[in-house]
Amino acid sequence: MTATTWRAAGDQIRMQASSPVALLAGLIMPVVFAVILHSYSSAAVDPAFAVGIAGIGYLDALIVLVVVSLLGEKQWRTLTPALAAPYGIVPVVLGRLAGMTVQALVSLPGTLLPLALLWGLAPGFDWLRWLVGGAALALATTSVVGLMAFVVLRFPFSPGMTNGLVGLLLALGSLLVPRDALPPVIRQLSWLMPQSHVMSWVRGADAGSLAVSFGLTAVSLAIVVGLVLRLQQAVRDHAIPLEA
Amino acid sequence: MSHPVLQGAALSYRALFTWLNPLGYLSSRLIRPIGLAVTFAAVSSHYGGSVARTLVGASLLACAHAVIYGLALAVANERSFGTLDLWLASPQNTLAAICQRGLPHLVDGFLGGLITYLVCGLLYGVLPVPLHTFAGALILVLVSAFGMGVLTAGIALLVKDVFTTPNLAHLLLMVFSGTLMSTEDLPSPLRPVSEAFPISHVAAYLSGPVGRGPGLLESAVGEVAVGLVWFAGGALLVQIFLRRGSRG
Amino acid sequence: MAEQGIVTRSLSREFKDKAGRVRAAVSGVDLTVEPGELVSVLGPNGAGKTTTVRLLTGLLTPTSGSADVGGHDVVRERRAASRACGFSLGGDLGLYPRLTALQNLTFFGLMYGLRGSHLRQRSVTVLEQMGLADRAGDTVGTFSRGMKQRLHLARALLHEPSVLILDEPSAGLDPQSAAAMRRLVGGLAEEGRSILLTTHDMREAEELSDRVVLMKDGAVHSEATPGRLRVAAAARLGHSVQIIWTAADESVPACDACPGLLESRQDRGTTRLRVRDGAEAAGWVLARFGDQVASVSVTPPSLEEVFLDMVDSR
Repeated sequence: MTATTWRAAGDQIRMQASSPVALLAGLIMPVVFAVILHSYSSAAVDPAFAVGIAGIGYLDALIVLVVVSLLGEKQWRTLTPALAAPYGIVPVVLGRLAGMTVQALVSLPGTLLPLALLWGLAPGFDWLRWLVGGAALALATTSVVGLMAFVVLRFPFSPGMTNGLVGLLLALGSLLVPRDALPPVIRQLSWLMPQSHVMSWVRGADAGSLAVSFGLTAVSLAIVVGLVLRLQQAVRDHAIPLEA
Repeated sequence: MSHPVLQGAALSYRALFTWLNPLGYLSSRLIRPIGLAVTFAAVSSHYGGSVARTLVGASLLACAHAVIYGLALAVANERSFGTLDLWLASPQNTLAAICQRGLPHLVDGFLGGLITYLVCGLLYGVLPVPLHTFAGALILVLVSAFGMGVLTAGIALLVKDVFTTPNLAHLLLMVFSGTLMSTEDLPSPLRPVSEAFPISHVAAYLSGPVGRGPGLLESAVGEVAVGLVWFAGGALLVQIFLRRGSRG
Repeated sequence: MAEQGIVTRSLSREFKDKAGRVRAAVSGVDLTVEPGELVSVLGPNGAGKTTTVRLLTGLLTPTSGSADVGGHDVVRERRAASRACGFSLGGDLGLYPRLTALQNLTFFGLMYGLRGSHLRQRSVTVLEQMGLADRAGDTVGTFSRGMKQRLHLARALLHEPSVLILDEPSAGLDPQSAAAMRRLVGGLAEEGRSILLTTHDMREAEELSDRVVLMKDGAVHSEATPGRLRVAAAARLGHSVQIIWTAADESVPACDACPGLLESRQDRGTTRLRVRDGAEAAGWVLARFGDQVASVSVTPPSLEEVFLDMVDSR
């Protein structure tokens, strides 16, 4: 199972590393958000700004990669042989998500560089919060976007159903502003998002926030695995096609 | 739906777009722009900017995005379904067909912009401009966004990557249209560039102080002119593509 | 029905590769398909079949030469040529899976200028013709490969073209569906249409075609009726002679002395020879072993052998 997961992760990186739309989503789009954000704040780049902007890159890149990669699996009909293998499609999907996370992580240094060149780093820039927060945010984003993998695999014509996720997670993840700056309804819902707790920690909250984010990330990943297992069973029981 | 133009437009929408189901429409056409609008309104509110201005701008942007994205995908999705050659081999005028396919996206853009405006107004408890004024602004944005959409559709005839062009157009609009950030914040050499982008004239009218910003007529003419220029560029691109006759 | 069919004159199309080298995908192709004639184009991958089809359908402009479809130049009178031509790509793609069969036909019909009740009537007619009338309201995403192939054909026929260009209409079909598709295509030729068929199925080409065009390296290698091609190839490849002996055991006569023998195989009462001259060999067998022969048959090379010979030739 582990070998399959590693292989799927490696294939993911090999096949999609230079995807123009993934690069656009992971690097250019967040920098555009940064330009807009900076027009309001005009401050030097602190870890919250840098990680939040990278978080937008993660979100966009992961959503694009999930759709492109898993639809590719459906179109190439490679999931059917995977389903016949001992552990089914779970290791393939997890491997793909792992590969996508590594790809998305490019946004962390990839966005910091232009941000630092444009506006400079804030004095005493906390590199630890930037690095740990950036990595935790990538995991948290993968765990939530991973739910979309199930939708893409399960339903035909599903990409249209997933477009709203960027907007929803952007609002709920409190990537650009603290949670208390969000409208009340959104603020309450954002508590369920692991990203919002990572961002709280990056903005200076205690380690408890980071622990909550890891807990929510684990729950979200468990739901992803559960849904994919359920999909496998449904494919076998009800002959649901795994081809596009 | 007996008129052939409307019949073709409706069938193209149904054939080519995967969001034509309640969940897909809600997700793609409504939640996405509302999420973006809420995010930027929160940014604006947090940093002491004008929430009202951001709500109006983000709602107009939602409208333009729906039209541009829809027109680009009305061509690009033909490639995904393997029907692009069949369409191009037909005697139908390609530019006219692109315009026909844009009609449902005009409706989408208007509804998306209006709903985004109303929902965000509800969330923030404010409607910055009267509804009828906002609806008028949306109509002008539909004209200019349609022009830009025809250009992205023309590019989609040439470029195989489905999403890059419309996403790039969206990013440019976010920066240059004066909706999410003031054009005053752009580096001075880039400020005139913003006037060539859809929404910029309408946004300037709506956000300017009464009597000191551009007038209604001036803004409306500017917005329509922007649409016509982009449309002309798109039409030219489509003709170049068809003349080259080398659709890979 | 058709008055003009397809005519190409020195039709050529060149492409530049990434290194800037010019490569001829189609080179000096002269081709005619008369009204009521069905012509199959055969060739290995890269022979220029698809480029020829794209040139005839107006999807590519020729580098030099010209082509008329239904009496209209495909470049100067593209729209008129397009109206005269029905074009079917075949395969799983080329249809809108979210639309029903009827909606697909309506959408494509609108592209060809059909309108209102005429469009509806034509859609129903072609669906009936293709045996899909009972599935008219079902979304195409639920269709089998065979049903999609028939819908492709229905779509190509919708605007009543005088010329049909069909790209592998029976590819991927089970034998029963492929036979049904061949009957449908054969029937369309009998209605008087000019049909150009590209296929890798030699049986289909042999069964349906009035003429076969063999393409290689972008050019026409040879063309004739399937029978003529086979007979002409016999001069190079020889004939097959099959002898069935009355005795079905190992004691059958040896034919090693047969004149012009190229190859001999024997299997339980049957001998298969490949010889230079089939008639001479059959005469020799009957003269030497006539009382032991149950039957003897002589056949020229199959179309598949002719094709493989062309592919291997320099």
